[in-house]
Amino acid sequence: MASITLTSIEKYFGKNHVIKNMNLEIKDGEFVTLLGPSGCGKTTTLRMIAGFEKPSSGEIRIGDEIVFSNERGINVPPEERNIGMVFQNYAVWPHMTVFENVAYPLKIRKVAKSEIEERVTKMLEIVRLRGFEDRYPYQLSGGQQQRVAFARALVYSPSILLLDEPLSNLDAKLREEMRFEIKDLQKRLGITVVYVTHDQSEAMAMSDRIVVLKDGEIQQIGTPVEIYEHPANEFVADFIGSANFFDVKVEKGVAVFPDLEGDLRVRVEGVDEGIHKAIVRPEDIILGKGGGRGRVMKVAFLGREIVYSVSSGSRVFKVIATKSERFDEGMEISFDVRKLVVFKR
Amino acid sequence: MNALKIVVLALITILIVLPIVLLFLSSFYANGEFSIASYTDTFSRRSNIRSALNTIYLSVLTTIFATVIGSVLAWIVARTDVPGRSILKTLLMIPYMIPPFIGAMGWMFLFGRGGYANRLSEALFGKELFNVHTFEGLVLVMTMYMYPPVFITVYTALMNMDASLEEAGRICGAKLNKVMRSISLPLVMPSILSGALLVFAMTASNFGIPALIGMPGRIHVLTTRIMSYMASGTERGMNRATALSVVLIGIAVGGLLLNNLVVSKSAKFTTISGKSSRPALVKLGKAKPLVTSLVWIFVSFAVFLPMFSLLLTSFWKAWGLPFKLSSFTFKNFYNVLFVDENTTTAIKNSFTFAVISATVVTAIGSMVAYFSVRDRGIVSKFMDLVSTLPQAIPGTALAVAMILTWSGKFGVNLYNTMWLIIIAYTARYLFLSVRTVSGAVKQVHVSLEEAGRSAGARPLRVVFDITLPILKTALISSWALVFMPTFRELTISILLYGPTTRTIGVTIYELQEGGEYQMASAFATIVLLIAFVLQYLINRYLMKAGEK
Repeated sequence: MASITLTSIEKYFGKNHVIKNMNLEIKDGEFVTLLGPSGCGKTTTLRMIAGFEKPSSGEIRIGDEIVFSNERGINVPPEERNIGMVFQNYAVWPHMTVFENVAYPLKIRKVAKSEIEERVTKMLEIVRLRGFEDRYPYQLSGGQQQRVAFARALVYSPSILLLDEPLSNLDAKLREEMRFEIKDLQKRLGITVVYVTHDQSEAMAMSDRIVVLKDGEIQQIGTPVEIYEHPANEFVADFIGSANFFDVKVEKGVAVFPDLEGDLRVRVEGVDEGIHKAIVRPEDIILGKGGGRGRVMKVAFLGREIVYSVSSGSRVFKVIATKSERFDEGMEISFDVRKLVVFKR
Repeated sequence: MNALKIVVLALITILIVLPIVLLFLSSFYANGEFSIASYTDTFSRRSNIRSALNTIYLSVLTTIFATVIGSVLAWIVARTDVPGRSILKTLLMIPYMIPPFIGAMGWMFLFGRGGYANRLSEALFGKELFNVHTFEGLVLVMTMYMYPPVFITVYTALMNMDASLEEAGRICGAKLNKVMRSISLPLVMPSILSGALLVFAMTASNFGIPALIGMPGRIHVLTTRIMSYMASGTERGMNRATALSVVLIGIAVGGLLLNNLVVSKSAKFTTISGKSSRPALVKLGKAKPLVTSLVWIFVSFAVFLPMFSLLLTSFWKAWGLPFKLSSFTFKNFYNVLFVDENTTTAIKNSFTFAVISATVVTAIGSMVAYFSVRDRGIVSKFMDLVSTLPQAIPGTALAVAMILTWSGKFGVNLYNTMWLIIIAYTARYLFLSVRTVSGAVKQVHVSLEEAGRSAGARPLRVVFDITLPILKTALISSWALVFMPTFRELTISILLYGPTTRTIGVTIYELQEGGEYQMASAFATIVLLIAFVLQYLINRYLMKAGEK
């Protein structure tokens, strides 16, 4: 088990500046997710930790060991970093059986045959693939192949585990199941995990901390709750969950909404007077009471919840409500804002 | 539509099935009854056993050398940091684009009697360097022609291999060299094997190289033996040629069947593929200068030297003149193109045959392709299978089958006419058209045609108004794909030509055999030029069409 430290990492692909001065500390045993849209540099970061990409400058440490340093001219090859990795397409070797796939890292490490047998068997037990030892990958389902990849990545007790969108090739139901399995596995083994995904709900469900990336720059680092409740900027607010953006005018600790109809006031603290941008989560708008005035434009019944589209003044916004109270299309209603996050201009 | 299908079925049955069946039947037929007399008679002669064994030896040795050379080069060019990788890839494929008999000429001018390399060596060391007209020479020239199919198969496999399969090996703790051996090599093994078996079949079927390199040294293989028997013109010679053809088909088809087995077995090796990064290149380090120079020496030897010797010869006033400027001339080219009656007639003939064959092949081939994709009936399946059959059958054997069928025995005598050659070309190259067009038909969604039907057009009208215009690019490339090999064909035409139907291939071959090296190489150079220009134009056309 080990911590990971990235210091002043820069990465260029030709003239393309893909990682800009990245500083990141991942603690021992932590589950950290790199989250962002495609092209944000999350996979590049992961591959730099693994050793497949060479940073243009900076330093990477795993535990106490410097695995990359531009200044000192250190670049430890991937095979000597003692890292486990699960690839997006699993990369299970098609010419080897399940057993051979999982045994390979141990064979490379010249582990005695009897011990290999024992450890592979134990590992296959953990990923629930006992009895599949002699199958070839083409005889396995996608989910089973993925578990082979996990077993192979963990069998040699690496100090850290890198996961590159491991769930993106699975169907929706299996994906949800695997989230819990991966989290459970991580907890049991106490291993440090770096997880790459563009799926925010996956990141929220599994991570101790999330690193939100955009255009090679860290936007925010925080726990799922912090990132959801207190997004650092508009990008984070928009990318995590869904958000309604409003202009607000703040006077004496109270925010008012110039674009909305009615008399809606929300208390805010620690915000300068003046016009600001703010976000309100759809579930933080309450319908049927409060000073706001509007009209229900559309209603979508999603089972557990109801999504409304409400117009007020010059704006249309989204509201998510429980099904205990129902409003019909075209109805005039009042609304209130329970919570908002104001961004400084 | 159904009437059309029956017409096409009848056409390809007569074109392909009938001659091949007749070839088999007549090889087991003597004095009016079933008998293996043809075979016992044929193999009672030592020289025939010798030529069959030679075919096998030559194929095995060529396969081994071509596979090793092709695979190693593919690995170097695809996966190491050797400089100039993309230009190397193009250069290494050149021998494959040159007709084998023309390539063989280049080697003759180097290592034949009085060849440039031999003359140089005689001047320096007082003895010949190497006689190409030996079995070793035959293996050498054949290998230089046969390594490219292995090279390109393995190269493609290495390039398309999912990089994460190798990265997974690295992350598990294996060094790059170990990863290459334990993961990459097993994964490309099916490609290597498949390339090797293809080379085996192609070598056994080849006529041009054994004819030019082997025959002057009295080394016969099956293809050249069959030609000699056919040239004898006797009934007995014909029977022996027939039996040898069946044996030859057996060897070639055996190789291809094994190939299919390997390919189908390796299908399970395909995996889910995600976003893929470029595979890591092996750094050659200290070995880099050595590897680089070895590769470039090979390229000079395999590609530049024979081409250079061919070109040099085409400017020579007469073979054997001293090496000085006054010995060179452009006259050979002028003679070939405008003066010599043999060569000018050959150009006219080959051009006519190629245009007619390409047109007929594309017409029939596109119908077969259309039926086999659109209509899954057993008749269409049969047509598809039959049209691809001649791909596996050596040209020499196919030509023998054509003579058996069309020389009057069954009421139609096309012997010595251009139609015999055109029919043989059509049967031989039909598969090219079927493959090209059926690929394109698969891309055209059936709903485009259904929209035409619902707009009120009859099926045939839909074909002309909608399907054909969409398939235009495929039809043109099918035409060109057939035109190019038929324009310079040797293997079939050498057996089927008559006094008035000499082709370019036959004429170059005869000029070379007759020692008129300057004329032969000038003619060959012109053919190569036409081939390269055509190839370039087609590539450009396809590229432009692809942009649309």
